[in-house]
Amino acid sequence: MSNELKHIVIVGGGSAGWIAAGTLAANHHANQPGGIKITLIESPDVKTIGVGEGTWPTMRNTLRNMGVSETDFMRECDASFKQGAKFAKWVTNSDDDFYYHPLVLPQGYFDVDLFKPWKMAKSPVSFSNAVCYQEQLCERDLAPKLISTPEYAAVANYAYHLDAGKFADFLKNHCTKNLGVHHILDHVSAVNSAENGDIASVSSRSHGDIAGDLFIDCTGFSALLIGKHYNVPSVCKKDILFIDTALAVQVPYDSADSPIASHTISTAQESGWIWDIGLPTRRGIGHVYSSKHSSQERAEQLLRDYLAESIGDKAKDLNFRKIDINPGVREKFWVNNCVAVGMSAGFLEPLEASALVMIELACASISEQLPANRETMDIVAKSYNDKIQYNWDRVIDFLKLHYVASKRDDSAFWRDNRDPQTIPESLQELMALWQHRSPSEYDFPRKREMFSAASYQYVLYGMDYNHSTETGFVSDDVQRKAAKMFAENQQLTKRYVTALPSNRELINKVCQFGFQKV
Amino acid sequence: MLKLEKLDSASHQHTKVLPLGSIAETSMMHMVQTVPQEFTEIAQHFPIFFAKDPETGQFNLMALLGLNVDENLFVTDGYWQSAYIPLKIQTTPFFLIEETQQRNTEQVSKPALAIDVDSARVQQTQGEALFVQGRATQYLQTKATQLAQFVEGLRFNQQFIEALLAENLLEAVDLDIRFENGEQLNLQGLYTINKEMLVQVPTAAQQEFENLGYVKLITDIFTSMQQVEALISRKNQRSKNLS
Repeated sequence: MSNELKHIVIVGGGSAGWIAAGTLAANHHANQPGGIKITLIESPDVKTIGVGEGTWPTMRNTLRNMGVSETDFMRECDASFKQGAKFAKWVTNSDDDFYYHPLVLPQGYFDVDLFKPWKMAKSPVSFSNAVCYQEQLCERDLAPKLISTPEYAAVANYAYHLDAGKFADFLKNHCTKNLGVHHILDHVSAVNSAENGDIASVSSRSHGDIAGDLFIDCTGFSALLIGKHYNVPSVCKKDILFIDTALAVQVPYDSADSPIASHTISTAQESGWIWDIGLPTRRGIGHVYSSKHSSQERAEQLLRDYLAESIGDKAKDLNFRKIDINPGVREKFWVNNCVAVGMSAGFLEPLEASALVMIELACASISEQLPANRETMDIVAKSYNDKIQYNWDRVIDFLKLHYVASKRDDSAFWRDNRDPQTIPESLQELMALWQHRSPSEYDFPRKREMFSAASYQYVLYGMDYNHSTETGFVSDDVQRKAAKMFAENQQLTKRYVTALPSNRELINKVCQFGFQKV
Repeated sequence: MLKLEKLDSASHQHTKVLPLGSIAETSMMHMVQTVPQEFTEIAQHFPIFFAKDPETGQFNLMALLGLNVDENLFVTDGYWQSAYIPLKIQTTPFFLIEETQQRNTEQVSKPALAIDVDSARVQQTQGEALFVQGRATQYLQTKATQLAQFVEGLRFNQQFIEALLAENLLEAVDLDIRFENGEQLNLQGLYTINKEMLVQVPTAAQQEFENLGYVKLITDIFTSMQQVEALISRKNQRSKNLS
């Protein structure tokens, strides 16, 4: 059949382009005869934006699926382990105000809901500490596994912090050398339509017209195919998520053995928050804020104050890189034979590191449901658009939750965030339900949800969400089970705190010895 | 803990070493590194597995001596109960250390013989002397030879293991054991060669395995698996004697 899907053209490199290339090439045998041909064309003069130095645990599967060795990945992408996020000053802005969103599920998560028994016990132990050991690992800068743990396997569930620029280069190398991806360094000068409105080919400056059956737009904010060619608008989300500007900086460690935090540290500010991400060789730090609520001078001052706490006077001389964030989501992602992945599809503030995981999810979905021919493509596109739209909505809800559940009243930014007009109806409804019960898996009916109910529990109860006082009835059976889970968690905490090496120590060992595959 | 001293005829002229088995010092050792030169003997007495060094995560070849950490089923009251004692244990309390010396502008390292002076077998009254009139005794020379063999064997092991890993031949062992007294045990952290993968090794690599003597080692390792049963019997026997 002539319109069989045989050739996929990815326009744009960067994390999105290369994750798409790697995922599709590995799953569809691009390096074998009879496999699908994959070409990635990237402009030599477009500089990629290093977005999102934090991943989700999903990245482990994404990399393994591409046939990447975890050791190579960690060494070459300056990667470190990430075991969740610590949110400081998000609730009351007091000095002892912090909570964790760990990556390990609550103890006995699929068996018993520990919220009520925890609440009723009125224990001084935080929800996260009562049900999960990971906060204690993070507080001690410990690694999530041992050097003898096989690659990609975990003692405690983990993700990565990485150097996004090195990551794209690393994947490029793997895709072209091992997976049979054709790489063309050239500028795309025109998009050529077929009669049915599909993209027939893209014209390049020195490689002529490159024809394909499916085109993936990974051109970032410029959205060359989905935006400029198909005129699909981006829907602005600034009315919900106010943050629109970032000031970023890289800070070296004091010494070669300074501890590396094994979690993202997010510290709330007057009109935004500061991220602090520890890589093996440096920290990446930045202030994201709402330009409507704060001047750039004020934002710079707050970032300098934050930096001074750890590096003292050196904070005075640092220069910050300013990045504009236009929170927005494309109205459609897949049109005709063109699908947008990465920032061309949508971009939100970096809270909860959703950028890379949305790319992974999009690529896995395209790859698994790859239409065999043009006839079935529109059916796939329809369900893809629905699913990806749903995912973006869930991310928006979850990010907004962090602001809505806050009790901060010290600035217009925090007060405005709680204005019902800025809160999606879907989130308002869920939060009304959660006044009376804890988030459950039934609240998130899709098969592959972005955030599980556990994530919502960690955030809500970490933020001391105003749960109504009547906790209701807890049966003896649940009470017994809960007591057992709390005790098991205590034992695991004790065991892991002694057994696990520091994050720095394990990263050094990965560089020296590497993980075994088994 | 070890306390190693580099051997020399002056400072160790009166040092004596009690024979192996006179003191219960290896009774807590549940596995020991083993080398190809002794595989044939080892396979007749102990199961051979691969296990990771906890400090580096790198694989070593080990003879299994017990089924629990700190349990050596071959030592009773300090005496070895097997007809063969692994080379590594025969060489105790001696060790090879790397000694670095400054030669002109270069740092040169060479192996040197050392002794664990914290071992209860090392004293000055009884046992084998190390030096007589400033010269190494036959006993010490034998130990030095054994150590050199052992180190050479370890080097061979590393190449062998790398070759196996390159062909994805190592797999984790999942051993569920039920003892006569009803106790159950799940042995973890041990690896062996995957038989199904082995037959799929490309011909060129198979030839290479044959030429380098790896086929013989793989056969020894498979033969040694019979000794798992023997270990379980020893454990059952020990439990009976205790009760």
